[in-house]
Amino acid sequence: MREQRRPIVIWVSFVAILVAINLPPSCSNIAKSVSRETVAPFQNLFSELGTRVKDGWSALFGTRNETSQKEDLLQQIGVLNERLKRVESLGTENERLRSSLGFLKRFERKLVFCEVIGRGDAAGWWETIRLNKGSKEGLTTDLAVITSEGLVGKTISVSRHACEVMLITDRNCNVAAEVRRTGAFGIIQGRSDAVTVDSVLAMRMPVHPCVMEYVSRDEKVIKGDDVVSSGLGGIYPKGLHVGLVDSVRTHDSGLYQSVQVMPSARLEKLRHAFVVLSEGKVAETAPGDHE
Amino acid sequence: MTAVVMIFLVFVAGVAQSTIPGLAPAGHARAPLLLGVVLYYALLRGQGSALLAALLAGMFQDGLSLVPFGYSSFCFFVVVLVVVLFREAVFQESVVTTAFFGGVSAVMVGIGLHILLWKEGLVHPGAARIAVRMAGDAVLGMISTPLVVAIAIRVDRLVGNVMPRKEDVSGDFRYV
Repeated sequence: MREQRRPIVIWVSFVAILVAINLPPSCSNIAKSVSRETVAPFQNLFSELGTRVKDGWSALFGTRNETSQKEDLLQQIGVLNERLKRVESLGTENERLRSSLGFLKRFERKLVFCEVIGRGDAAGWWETIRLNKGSKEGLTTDLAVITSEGLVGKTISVSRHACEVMLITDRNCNVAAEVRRTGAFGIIQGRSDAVTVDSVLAMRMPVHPCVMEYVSRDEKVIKGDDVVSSGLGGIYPKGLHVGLVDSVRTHDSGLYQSVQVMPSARLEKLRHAFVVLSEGKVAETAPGDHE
Repeated sequence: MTAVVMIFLVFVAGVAQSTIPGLAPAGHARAPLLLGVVLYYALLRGQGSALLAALLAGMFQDGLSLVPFGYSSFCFFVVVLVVVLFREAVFQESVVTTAFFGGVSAVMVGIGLHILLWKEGLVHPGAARIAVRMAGDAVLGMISTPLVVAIAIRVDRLVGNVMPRKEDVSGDFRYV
């Protein structure tokens, strides 16, 4: 009897899989949201636990270097005070120039503070992170994600309490960018397939440089140049810091330059990030407590 | 009770798989814990249970990743059919068997998913990365599958789905 039922079971399973593959996007999105929502609280818990264990470990074994750390910190305070004075004067000048030119402030858009609760997608084919905020906080797909250091990526999938972010180092992520010094335009693409020799044997994501393609041959780009988002394309607001130029070479076709850009955001050690809400969303849904 | 245990195992494996980060030097290969659950049912339980586990685990894996719905289920489904074909010829409860099937199945699923995703234009990794990734999948599959199977056996024993072998004091189990 069991032997007779075997082909039926196989066929039923096969049909179920075919149905799943051919589900309309709206249905499969709901199913994906349900899966993520179920897992998000546990990932939150593990993330919290991990942070506490790490903090506890540092508190227990980090006292040896306290004296030297204190000296370093005092030195840093001096340097930062000096910088602060410079930044304040630059800020005033910047403010005056902006208002006279009629530009909007760069971050009149609201930022939603998020914690990283997962790294990489469950199948391991894309370079993504999972954040602990979702549509409840006004997030949607295609929003820029940043840290104080620079651009991280964009939201690609949002459920009620979590969202998936594709990192700029992933091959599927394209950012319209420009070199700040020269204004040279290009498209930044990830190179997630580059397994570097110096990849550390750690269960972390090593940061691969991105490549800024289609930069005109006439533009003089040099190592250390600042690369920012150009604002074209509508996802990434203009002026977001992306990274620094690492090297420049002419593309094999000889038609344009390929510029290697090292991301400024420390993608391998991300713990927190900000999602930049689109301007329309600010007025409609962004809650005040998430600034 | 079997269904409850299956759902529990799939859920725990899914949470663990999505929480444990991938191994960067191995092309971001992740420990295939959900595949481990499927292999447990394919090697040590009935074919019907194995196919149901493949369906559930695959959908959960796709739900937690960017892979289109049903792709992982399809790959797990093929793995179940292959494993069921050979399971009578091997010592099913041996750690070596589970490790071997874990490694081979992880590579099979990796190749299967890569072909499906590449056909859809969703991934474009080069040959070097694929080779590194497959090696990573194989190693992680060989390590994680025996662990998952051992845990699954104990959970099933705890709830009374399986009974300890009377004549064997080594801790192996007979399935009822």
